[in-house]
Amino acid sequence: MIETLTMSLRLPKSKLALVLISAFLASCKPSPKQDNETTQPAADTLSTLVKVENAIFPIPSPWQVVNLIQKNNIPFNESCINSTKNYQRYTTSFKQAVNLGIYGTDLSYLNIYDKTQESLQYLGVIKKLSEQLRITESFDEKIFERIENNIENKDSLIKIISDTYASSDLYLKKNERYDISALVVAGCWVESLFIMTKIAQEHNDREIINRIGEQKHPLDNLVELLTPFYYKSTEFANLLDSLIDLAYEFDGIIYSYTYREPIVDEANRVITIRSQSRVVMSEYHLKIISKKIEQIRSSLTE
Amino acid sequence: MQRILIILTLTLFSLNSFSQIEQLKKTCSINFPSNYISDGQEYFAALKPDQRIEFRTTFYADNTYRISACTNAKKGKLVFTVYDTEKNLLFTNESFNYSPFWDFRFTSTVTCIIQVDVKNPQFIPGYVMLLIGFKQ
Repeated sequence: MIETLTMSLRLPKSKLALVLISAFLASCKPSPKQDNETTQPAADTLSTLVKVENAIFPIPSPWQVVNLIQKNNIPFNESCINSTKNYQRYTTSFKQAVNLGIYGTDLSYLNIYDKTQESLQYLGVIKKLSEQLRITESFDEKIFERIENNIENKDSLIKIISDTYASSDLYLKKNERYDISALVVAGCWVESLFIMTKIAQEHNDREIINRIGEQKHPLDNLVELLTPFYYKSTEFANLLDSLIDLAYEFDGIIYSYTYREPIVDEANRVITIRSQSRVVMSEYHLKIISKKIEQIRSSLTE
Repeated sequence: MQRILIILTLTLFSLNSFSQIEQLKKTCSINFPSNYISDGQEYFAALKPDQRIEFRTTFYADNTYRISACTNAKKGKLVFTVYDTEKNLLFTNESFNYSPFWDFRFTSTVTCIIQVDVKNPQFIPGYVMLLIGFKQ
């Protein structure tokens, strides 16, 4: 406890307070459920609008990052993904869960380049990790058969992978294994940001750089998602500390937002949100975010 | 004996919750066709009459998303409302006959707050579930 507190004291007061209060609340509860009745820290700009009693923190899909890479015709880079040789190092449930997320993002990255053989290897590792984590209900034989049968159909595969991860997320939450669920999500997110920063540095792709800048709110959500487990282990505390440290770098990015009235197409049940946002990210911020996410990712994969 | 009864009761309660959530997933999936890709997470929570659920999430530019919401709470209509972070109301299904799903086309990346609650303070508590996916 003292060691963890010492690490936390490096943090500025506001975020340290958030972590400590949330961790304290989590430690008072029988299980780290998100659907608690305690007042959670409200979304900053909505704090006067509602009293938040149940807050859930979604993280945007890592599969969308892969879609963006595909759209921009960026060549494959093997150094973006975690080697399957590393999986034997993952002997704790923390490492197994977080790398299940990392390998899931890697599998979808491989998928867009038609890397069939490599995809099968990654699939094998995902299967082993899911067995070690006892999530075999979601990652059952039928799923692997479906994936293998669709390995050359990009669109089908991405659908099956995302559905399988959603199904395992539901299974973990039903069984109150919220910590494992959060770690899988964290692994997916860390890997997708890592891949984006590698690409941004090599190709200076403006759309990818903007997408990196847009990770501010998803990162805040990830911090909220992991905070109840801060005192669960040193590994959790270290990960959360490093993500909070990364979040400070996002505070330096300039964001602007202009509201425009949406247009509703009632017949087709579609609404077009026309509000405009803009991200201005300096080279300095890109470099520092790239460096920090690489360090975080290394600490999870090594 | 008493301990066995407590364990048995808790097990039955858990199994009941599991089956409720599974059923809810099936209901929500009806409005979530295969060309929508899930974000890999499942959002559900127990909802009581004095509560609402809040989600804050980021939707990326040039994508169309589907939000499908459902509940097994009785005697009430499920309402989902979407705001931007400046409190501007973007959408509420209350204006569209409580439609259980809607598509959102984003021309620019926007972080939104989605509130979910049930219209009727006397409703019988249950679970609510939200599925979010982008169109492939």
